[in-house]
Amino acid sequence: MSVTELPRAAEAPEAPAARRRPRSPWRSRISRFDLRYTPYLFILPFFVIFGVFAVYPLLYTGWISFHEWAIIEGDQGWTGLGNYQDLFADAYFWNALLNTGLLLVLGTGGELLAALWLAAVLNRKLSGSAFWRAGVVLPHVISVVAVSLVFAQLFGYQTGIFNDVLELVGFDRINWQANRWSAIIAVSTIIIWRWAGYFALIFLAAMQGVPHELNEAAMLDGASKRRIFWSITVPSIRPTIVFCVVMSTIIGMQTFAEPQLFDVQGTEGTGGSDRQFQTLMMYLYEKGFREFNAGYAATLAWVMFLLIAVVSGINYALSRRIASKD
Amino acid sequence: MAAGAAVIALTASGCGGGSSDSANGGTVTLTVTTHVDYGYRNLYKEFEKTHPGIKVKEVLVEDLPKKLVTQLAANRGAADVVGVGDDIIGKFKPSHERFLNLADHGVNNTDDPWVQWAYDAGTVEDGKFVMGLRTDIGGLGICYRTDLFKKAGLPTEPEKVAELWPTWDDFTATGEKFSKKVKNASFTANTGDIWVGMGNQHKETFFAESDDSFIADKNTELKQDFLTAANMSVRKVSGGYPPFSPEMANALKTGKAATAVCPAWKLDRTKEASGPDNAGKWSVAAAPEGGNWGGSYLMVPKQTKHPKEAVELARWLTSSKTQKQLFLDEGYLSSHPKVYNDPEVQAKKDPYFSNAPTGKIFAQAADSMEPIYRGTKDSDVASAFMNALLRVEQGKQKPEAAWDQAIEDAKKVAG
Amino acid sequence: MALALRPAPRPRPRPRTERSGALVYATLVGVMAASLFPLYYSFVLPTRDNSAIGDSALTLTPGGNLFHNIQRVYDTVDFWLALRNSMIISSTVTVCCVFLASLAGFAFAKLPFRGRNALFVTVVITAMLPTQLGMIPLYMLMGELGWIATLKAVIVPALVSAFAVFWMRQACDEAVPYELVEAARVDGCSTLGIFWHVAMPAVRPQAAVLAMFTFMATWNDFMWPLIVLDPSVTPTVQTALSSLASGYALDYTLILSGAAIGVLPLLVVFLLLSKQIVAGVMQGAVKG
Repeated sequence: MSVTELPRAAEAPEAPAARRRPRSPWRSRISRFDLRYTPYLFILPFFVIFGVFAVYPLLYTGWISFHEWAIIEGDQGWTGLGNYQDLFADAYFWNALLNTGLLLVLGTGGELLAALWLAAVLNRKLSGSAFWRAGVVLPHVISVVAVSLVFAQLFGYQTGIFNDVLELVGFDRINWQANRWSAIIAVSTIIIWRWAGYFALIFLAAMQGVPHELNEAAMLDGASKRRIFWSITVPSIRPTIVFCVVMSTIIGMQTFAEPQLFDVQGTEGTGGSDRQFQTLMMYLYEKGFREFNAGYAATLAWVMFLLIAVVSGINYALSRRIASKD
Repeated sequence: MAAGAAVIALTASGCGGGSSDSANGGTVTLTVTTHVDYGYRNLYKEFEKTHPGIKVKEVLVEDLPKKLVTQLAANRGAADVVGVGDDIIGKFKPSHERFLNLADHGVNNTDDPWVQWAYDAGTVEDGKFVMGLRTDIGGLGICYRTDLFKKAGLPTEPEKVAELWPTWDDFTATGEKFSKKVKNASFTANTGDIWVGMGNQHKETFFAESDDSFIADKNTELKQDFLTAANMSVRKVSGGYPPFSPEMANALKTGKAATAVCPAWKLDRTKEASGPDNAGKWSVAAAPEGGNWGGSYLMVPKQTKHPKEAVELARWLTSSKTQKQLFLDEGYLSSHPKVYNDPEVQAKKDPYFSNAPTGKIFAQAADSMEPIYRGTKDSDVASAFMNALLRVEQGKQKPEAAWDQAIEDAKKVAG
Repeated sequence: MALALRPAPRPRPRPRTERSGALVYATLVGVMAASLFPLYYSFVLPTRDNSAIGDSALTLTPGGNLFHNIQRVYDTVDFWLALRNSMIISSTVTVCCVFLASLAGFAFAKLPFRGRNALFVTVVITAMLPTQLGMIPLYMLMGELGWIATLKAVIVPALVSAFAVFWMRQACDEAVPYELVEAARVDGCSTLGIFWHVAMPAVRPQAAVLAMFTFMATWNDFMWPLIVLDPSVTPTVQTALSSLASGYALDYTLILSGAAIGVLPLLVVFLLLSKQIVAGVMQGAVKG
């Protein structure tokens, strides 16, 4: 029957029913209906709304990817897999993929580690905890315009504060936008800054649920705080960690705002003079909304989707394994 | 007055709102969306006064092309009058059928004529289809710091300064002279702005007028321009402050750059960036080899419900009478020869810029312009060249190598 | 099923840990400084005039122009209307999204039904779709529905989110024990009743976190509102801010003044919900 997948939940309602006052047939019919169909009613709104307003447009986009498609004029003829062939032969695509990968490792990886650390700090007994929590999430809520102005002043080549500091301690000024490594480091910094607090709050919510007896027992055994954190706290919030890894991977694969606002040429820019920090999403934007080449952009979107699925899957498996290690 | 009162009454009774109630004598509301602020705000009131029954609402949208393409693709939602920059109108030319042919609505270039090149660039099908009406033009000037020029032993009067640089090569040479005397400031802010200014001095740049084919690789004039601009980085004449960045604003304010490329619409920006403390330290001179940078077109999407009124508004906003007022009030240079040759316009001086005769300088630049051809993919390939200049500025490439890569990059986009 | 996550130990009231030392506070102050800085900056810069953006050091001391600049924001765009619209959009989306995601999340976590795992995988996969590119077909759809330039066009597509379902499923999985669901059913509770009286109280903290993030994301959403709404009739805070940024001469003090007043409602919502999260955890949502 329909309920074979989860035996322990499925068997439960029938057995105890006998112990209770007898039901009218009408009531029991309602109850059976309730048991069988209510779950579907619960998930129905999601699938209806999501289907109409997200899946349909995206399938349409998939259809577009098999055509020459100008954004305004629409269909210019079927090309089959032509766009996909072009994309895989496109050096800019591989370049953007490399950059996205680097940012995923440095930025997304960094943001999760920073978030874990922040959550551990916030999980202590603190006075004014609401204030600290509001504080860490602020970078995420402040308008991107303000953020871009501030970071332009921090990472500026000739007038930037970071370079002033470097010079002060005897290093050369760095033209942050000019090279891949410096640009990736800078953009990763912005990503970590914007997202660490966001994920820290999610981790924190989970850490608050970790039974304290576990920690106390370990402390009595003389374990160090660091060891307690890694061998008790982290495994206890494993599902949340896995969730955050998958979610941040999906977000990280679509990184757009941070490298975009790091580009001195703004939306006119290509992510650096040699596309040294152009991400997949930036390239998609360039193709779709600057060159009006919807067919190509749609192709890129679908390839991105597949990549995201693969990378998220790998990260899911990895994070499950790592987080469960004691 | 009575008409005005009627308009108010009708609006109050809920007849406004831009739906198709013009037929039964209600108020027509026209929306205007422009890619940046065109300085029209006060003009709308005047238009409403002289055109009873029409109300105008302006909507500013950042990144307008993106919104506009979506609206054109879906065939709904576009404003009645849209304004886009002259650098991007080419992108819309293949879709000109989505806009009204203004020639069908009585537009031509004989009554109240625009400067020919500016009018032509808004047309397709050999001028038979008028797609956009030219708003302002940029002209081209060079803003310079008189205090730094004095320090370098250079003249400070606009006429004398212009004589320093009849060509861009002279401009570079002046820069080298400057750099010898003044150590803590660059001669000019960046090479990107200079390249954009130069690019508008030729009949053809990236694409051939005859068949829209990619010709940048064979365009020796263009390559010469590129090398001249790129060499300003190599010879340390340019400071490498990125165009439109806070760093550039900083350089202007703190006197780290002695010159900047200044079309008319950029004067205000320079003023804002430098702040009131620097009033009188700046001046403007004619740019080497004349030229133009910037300006826009008003177009009427075919989906408008009020074609007649929308065309009327677009014509009115771009007419010589309106444009003269716009120059005197807001400093936007007119695209009508009649206006920029008007004695009142030519007599305009700007006190912030040491009373330089801005009206005259920009008019001369506009008048010396040749018509430019802009390909449909002009704005797509432009970034390849901007990036190339940036690579030279960042010390990653020599000018020749940067040019070669720019051509390769541009070819990929041009197809 | 590879993606079915194992339930974790369920939350319980946490006894006090040892007090935090000066080092912890020092670290926090450092983190806080980095977090607050741009906000501080976007309050300070508007107190000065535009050329302050060009100062070589960051401008750190306030000037006297704040109210003048805020006034200019209200003169330039209809900021009250924008605030009102953003409030309507964000609160509707938040309430509906959290409610619908809780319903679906609860069903996926605790109710047996045929095709459950397959459907849940569908949800996870949909979370991976880059929705940016669905924009033009979506816009056409809105045209067919006649929703362009109405708030509906922004609200309805955001009513559900795959992330939210994913999140609430996880929450229910961890915080709602099967025994409790069964016990409630024995007591004659309908499925809806169990959801409302058993599951929802148990996942309140997680729902509050989700609400907070949904509200923030909706408030800051920019691209789609910009495309589908009419900034003159239905502005949101973000599209109004972008209107401020569309001049030839970028008016930094104006933009940042707008950014500063645009973030205030968000902070209020955050502080309100933040209390809720703590309270939820402290009172021990799951009894027994």
